[in-house]
Amino acid sequence: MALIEMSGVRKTYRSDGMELHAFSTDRLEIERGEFVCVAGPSGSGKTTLLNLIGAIDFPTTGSVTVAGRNTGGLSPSDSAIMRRDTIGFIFQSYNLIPVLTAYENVEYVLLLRGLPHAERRQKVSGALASVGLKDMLQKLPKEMSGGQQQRVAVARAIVASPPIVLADEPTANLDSVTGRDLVTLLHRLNLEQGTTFIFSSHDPVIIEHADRIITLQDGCVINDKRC
Amino acid sequence: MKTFLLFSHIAFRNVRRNARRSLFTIIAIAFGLFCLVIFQALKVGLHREMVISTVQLDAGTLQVHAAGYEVNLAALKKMPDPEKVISVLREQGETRFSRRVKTSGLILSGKKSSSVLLSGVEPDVEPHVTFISGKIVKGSYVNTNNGILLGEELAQSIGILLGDEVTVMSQDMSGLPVSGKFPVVGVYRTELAAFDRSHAFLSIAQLQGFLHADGVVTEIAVRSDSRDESALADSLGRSLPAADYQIRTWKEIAPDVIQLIDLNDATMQLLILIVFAIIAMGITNTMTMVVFERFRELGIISAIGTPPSGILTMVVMESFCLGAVASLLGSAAAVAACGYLGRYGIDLTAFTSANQYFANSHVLKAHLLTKDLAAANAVTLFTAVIGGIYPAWKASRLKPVDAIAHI
Repeated sequence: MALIEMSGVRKTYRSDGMELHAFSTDRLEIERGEFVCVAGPSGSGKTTLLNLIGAIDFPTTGSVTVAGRNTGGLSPSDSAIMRRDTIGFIFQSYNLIPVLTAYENVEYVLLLRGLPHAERRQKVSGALASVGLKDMLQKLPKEMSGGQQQRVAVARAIVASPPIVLADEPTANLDSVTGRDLVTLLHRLNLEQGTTFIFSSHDPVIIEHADRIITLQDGCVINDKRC
Repeated sequence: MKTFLLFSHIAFRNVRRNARRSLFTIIAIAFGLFCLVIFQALKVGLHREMVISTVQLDAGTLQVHAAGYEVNLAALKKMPDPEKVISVLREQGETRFSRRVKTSGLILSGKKSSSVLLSGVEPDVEPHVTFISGKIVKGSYVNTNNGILLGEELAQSIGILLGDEVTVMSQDMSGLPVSGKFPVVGVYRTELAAFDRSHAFLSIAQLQGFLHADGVVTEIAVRSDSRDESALADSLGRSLPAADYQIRTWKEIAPDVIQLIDLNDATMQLLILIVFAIIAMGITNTMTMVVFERFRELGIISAIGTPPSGILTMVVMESFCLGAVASLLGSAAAVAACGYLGRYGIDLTAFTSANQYFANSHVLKAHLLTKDLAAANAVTLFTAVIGGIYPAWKASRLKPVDAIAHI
């Protein structure tokens, strides 16, 4: 069984009485350990696809199964728990909790999981060290550069070793050097830990590292290429 | 527990995040608490003053009379076996009581006269029951020698000076008119001119002799600071048969006082409700703005696995933190203000000079009770939580996908 399975999925939004088609697929499967890039122009449905996989949005019809659980049948609490235990998120705009330090932002997801202090400390320190921020533990987001904040966001996404990491245009706000370093780091984690990464991006660096490229246009998969 | 602490930690830091807005909200809540505590303390002070004025002016905590006694009845109503009452009071540990004879009379001086209530009191023990002996402005309190104590207003109205003689007319035990001359041994002044104009005091022995009523007692007034008047009345009632004795507490003697206290309490409760409804709306407004401003942030927090209950806790805790800080500030200010008002008070002479409830003093002093301060703080915190619930509930129902897309 694939880690992620989408079957007969159709996602539409209603706006001003009109129905807008955002994404649809008859069948889409993503296996454990894949490094996937979802590419396509703006408005092609990349973010919608990631939202559906991440259980922060739900299909209008069809089913999305993540790690064996159909996301459509989950209550808000259960879907939050599913996301907590299964998925790490990296957003385009970093989106750290502004009142928490780098250490606390990363620790947050472990506290939600109820891990003991010693284990949290070890994991957080390890995650921040892996993104090269072991000297910035007590910095607040506003005291860090965009690249540093994005690396904290990466540390937060990977600290609990989730089977899936979803990254929505993670390099969009970074300079090319920082962006390349970040992708290299994520690729290394993919290879070392077998974490499944799914990117939404048209960044050539990510496409270059991806072992599968799903291309969308007008909400439909027009190409699914394994590299 | 760990997650609760985490959410509380974030909530507390969020309070500091928009310091100016938090400060204004805190000041508004603290001011509401401050007003509540001050009003409550002044109300307690007012009620204490009203009770003191009632109990210590004349009524005592309770009075024992002969069964069928009626106030303002000219004919003396003799109490059967006053010593039995005294004995029961002593058995029950009461030490402050006084035998009295009361009757109506007329005081004359030259062509001027005034009707008064003549009170024969025990000079040694009456000062333990009422405060008249502490209000002497000329001469001395009544003593066992021949002499009468008049109120300053009465003395002035009939043109009497200390040492002058006045003629007193009344009816004796058998209803026959009696008159006699008494030197004025003292002049008193309470804060209630109407009382001073209409009450004259003699020693009980003098009045008994004047009324040809040797050994007659019409009233025993009891003052007890240790026991509730109802409990004391019930206790005495078990030993003093209702067929012979009538026991009336100060609340029965002066029902207007207790009605006014009840009215004040009801008004205060309404005021509390209004003040805290306004505070709750203010908090709701602030927290709604907070949630709206952090729409996207809350979406991210939800997306990374925070359950709706966690988001609800986070927002409610932020509201609670605002209330807690406001409680501390409001309480500190209120305690300081009550300390000042408890010591110096507010002079209400211009408004209360003819008010029967201010016979002891016209200065209204705040009296802060610990339970009132605790209750005000509890209400403040409760209001803060209630005020935060609606925006917290809205926040907890945010769909992460909508919140994250929010700009």
